[in-house]
Amino acid sequence: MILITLLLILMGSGILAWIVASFNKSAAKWIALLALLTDLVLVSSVWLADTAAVTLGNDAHWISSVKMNWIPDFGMTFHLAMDGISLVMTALTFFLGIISVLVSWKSIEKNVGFFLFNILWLLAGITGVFLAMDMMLFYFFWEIMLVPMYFVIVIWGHEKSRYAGWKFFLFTQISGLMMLLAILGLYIYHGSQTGTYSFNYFDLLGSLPGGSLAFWIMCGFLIAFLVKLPTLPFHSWLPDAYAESPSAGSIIIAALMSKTAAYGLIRFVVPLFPESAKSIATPAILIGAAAILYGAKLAYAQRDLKRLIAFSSFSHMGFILVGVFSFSALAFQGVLMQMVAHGLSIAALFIISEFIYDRIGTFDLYKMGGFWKKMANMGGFTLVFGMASLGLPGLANFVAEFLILAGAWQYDAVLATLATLGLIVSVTYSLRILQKIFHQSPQNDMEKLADLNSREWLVLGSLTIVIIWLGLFPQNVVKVAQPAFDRLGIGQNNTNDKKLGLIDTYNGLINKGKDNNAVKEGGKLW
Amino acid sequence: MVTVEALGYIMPEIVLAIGAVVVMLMIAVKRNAILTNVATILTFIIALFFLINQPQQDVNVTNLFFVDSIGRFLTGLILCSAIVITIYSLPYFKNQKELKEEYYILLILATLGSVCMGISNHFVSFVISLELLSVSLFALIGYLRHESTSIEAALKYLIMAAVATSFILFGFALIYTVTGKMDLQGLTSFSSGSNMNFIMLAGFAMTIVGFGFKMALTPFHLWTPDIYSAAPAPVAAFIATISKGAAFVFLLRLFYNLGGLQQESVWIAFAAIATSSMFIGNWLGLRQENLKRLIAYSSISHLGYLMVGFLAISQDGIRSSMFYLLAYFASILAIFGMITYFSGKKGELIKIEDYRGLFWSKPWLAAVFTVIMLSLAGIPLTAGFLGKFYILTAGMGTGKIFLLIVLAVSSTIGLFYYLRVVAVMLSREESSIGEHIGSNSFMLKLAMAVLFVLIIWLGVYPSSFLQMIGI
Repeated sequence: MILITLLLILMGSGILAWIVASFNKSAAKWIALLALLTDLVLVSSVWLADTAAVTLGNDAHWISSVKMNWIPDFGMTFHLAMDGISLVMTALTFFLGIISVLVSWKSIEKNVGFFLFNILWLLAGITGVFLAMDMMLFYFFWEIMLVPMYFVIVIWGHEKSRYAGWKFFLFTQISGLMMLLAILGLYIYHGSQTGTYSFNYFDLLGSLPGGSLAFWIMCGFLIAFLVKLPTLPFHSWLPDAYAESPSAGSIIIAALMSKTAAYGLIRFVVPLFPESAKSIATPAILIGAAAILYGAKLAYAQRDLKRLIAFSSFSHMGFILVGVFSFSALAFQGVLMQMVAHGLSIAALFIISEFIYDRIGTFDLYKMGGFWKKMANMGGFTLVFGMASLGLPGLANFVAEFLILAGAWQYDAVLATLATLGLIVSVTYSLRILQKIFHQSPQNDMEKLADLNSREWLVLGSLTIVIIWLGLFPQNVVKVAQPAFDRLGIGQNNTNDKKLGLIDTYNGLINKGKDNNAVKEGGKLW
Repeated sequence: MVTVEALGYIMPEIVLAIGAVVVMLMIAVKRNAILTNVATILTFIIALFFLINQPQQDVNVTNLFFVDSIGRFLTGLILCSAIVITIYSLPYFKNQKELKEEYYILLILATLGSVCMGISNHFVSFVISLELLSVSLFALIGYLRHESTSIEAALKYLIMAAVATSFILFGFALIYTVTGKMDLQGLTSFSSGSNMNFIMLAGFAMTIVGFGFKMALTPFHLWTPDIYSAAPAPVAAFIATISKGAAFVFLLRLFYNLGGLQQESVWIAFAAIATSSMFIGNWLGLRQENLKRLIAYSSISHLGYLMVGFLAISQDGIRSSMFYLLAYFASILAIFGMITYFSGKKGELIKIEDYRGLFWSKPWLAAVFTVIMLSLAGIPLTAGFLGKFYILTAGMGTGKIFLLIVLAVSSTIGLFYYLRVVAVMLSREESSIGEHIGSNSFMLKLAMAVLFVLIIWLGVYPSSFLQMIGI
């Protein structure tokens, strides 16, 4: 029931905030904040209770699950379930939800109530995506994310927001419809094989199509996920949508919504179509590596701070593609870490850009410079997240990218090398952010600039703590998700016995080692 | 033979016929718009009551009518829609100069025609009900006779309907030449595979053209935008929903009985019509500035989607098209309800621009408006999505992948204009909406609220409705 509670709190408080805002705006904000805090506490309590259970050496299990009838005529069930991956992702969702409400505390003035309604429903959609175990329910939540996001971009965005909103909506809608067709294909295939028509994930896992049918159905899923991720060549909506949204929108779209696509790849594409997914592994990794390099190049060329951050996000998403299609346990760990770490660091960078915009009213890098003198604290934080983005050891992003590259190396050394170049080019644009904004000679009058206030300190400080904590103790995340990955691994090992042994070796290492080094050793042993 | 028991199955139709006469006599005694309106609604409700209490059986009532679950479902749908349209009509015609009472007689007669069309089992009964519907509609479209556009639209519809009817009649005649049968059950027994000769195909072609006109499928759709924009909003709602739905159901019966769809050439012809309807409807809507014309193009594309369910040739295909009709009726009635709601002394607000900034002056209404638009666009959690979903399932079930991809792609094109309406409402400017009739009409508000709930309900938890269709 806790899963339903999580969703109901978000949806209910969304409606409540909308109604309350017409009487009292700050009360509405507090309602939204408290709702998200409650959800975060709920999820954390699950996490703490579960960590104990996992270390006892449970086999693959679902932490919590709820299943009810929904539309029996179509074989649709209201089935939510949470495993380690979902747990980590929902916790991230609520944490960043709190951050995005805090960031827009002052900057959103018009129609606060409707804004909070949209944000909360958006987060509910994302949470639902991470929990849904019925394909149609998944699709419903997938689409629920769309409409509130469109409103957030169009109403509260910057100058060209209407164009950006359209582009976002159309790209995701058509790709979503392709996924719907794929889901229906799977449904009909399953029904024709077994005689029972069902959209349930676990039922569908029982009879998987093979051959070219599986390939085409997989393509339907892939289109939806690759557009949302986004990766080459489906990324043209990204800079507009990321740059034109208000900061809360940018945070959610870059840090959470793109992760739903990564989650979809892990949860659906790999287990449902193991053979077909392997058959496209090489081109997929190649696309991922190309996206890493191309995104970095585009990011370096931007003049607009938000677009620069947007393209850096595009570049980092390439790692997820590389990791998923490497088909190694190491890389899957890395993908999960990357989902969390990138979510945190990209959110922080968008927040910093918002704080700068609040002060000088532009995102143009050429109108900034020399801010360190006035805003040393902000400069310090930017340094931390710039370093996170370029993958400095000790921060969460490093662990993630290292694991992914180590996993990819097992698959193909040449491709892995190509992707590794991304670590080098990411240095260029990350340092450029720092240099353009905080060093150089001042470009405009800096009298008005004030350093961070306490709300801003709270936001950036909490993000910094989490990103360093995860950089030092990544096994906290990895361990929780391990049973879920084991299940994935076993799914593949039916066809590949060699990997079973390797995963066992790796599990031994994870249980023995308590820090980063063990993970690294795991990479070497492979 | 007509037995009393069999008559029980066509009680709803009999009630409608009596209701038309009663309302006419009532007007002769005392002219009162509200009283007539209430009497009309009562007629529909009594008819609905008889419909609900019918035993759930498939029954032949003479050679002419066949009452089965599809027929019952459609009759119920038409009666409910007619009630909604009657509710729209009272506040809408309040400001008009014309005599208001006769309008309701025509409305009942047009409803009677459509209901009969839905249960027709014979070419003759079909043609008679078609004419009953068309003739009433000429008068309804031109009801505001002081406006020249209204007369023009009525004339246009008259010519189009006459052409369509003659095509259908010719087609029926050719089918009769080959088969020697005019009732649908007789046609079923006629084995189509062996005798599919040229005359039969020509008969099919003629019939398809005629139905194409009636249902406004491309390339026979040209009348739709003009007539939608010129007709009074409640009448336009009637044309967009009831008359199209009734024609569709007879088309379904005809071709499923005749088995013409198994013929590849016939199937391809229908598929071409469906594909072009989906694309052209969505394409031409893109540049529309006039909301009613936009709805016209939207309804063209929706009928195209409906044809995908029809072309699936399966039980699921029938069920899905019935469910789609339900979702489509709800959304289209709701959007015309919105237009009725915002019409004032100066007439209807038919320009999209008129709704600029609505979100900020009337947030709740605008939210309802947005949900209706999203339902037409087929976004999840609304009726439009589940309708589309069911059609896609049916198509996937019989492997009509090409049509499904056309549906997906063209509906994304359509998204452009639905979103444009939403974006106009969202834009941050002072709304210029003045006096409108909706604010004073409780019944209109109630009808809008019911339709809104229905749209969400159908989109979230449609089980009870699906069982209702239960074919």
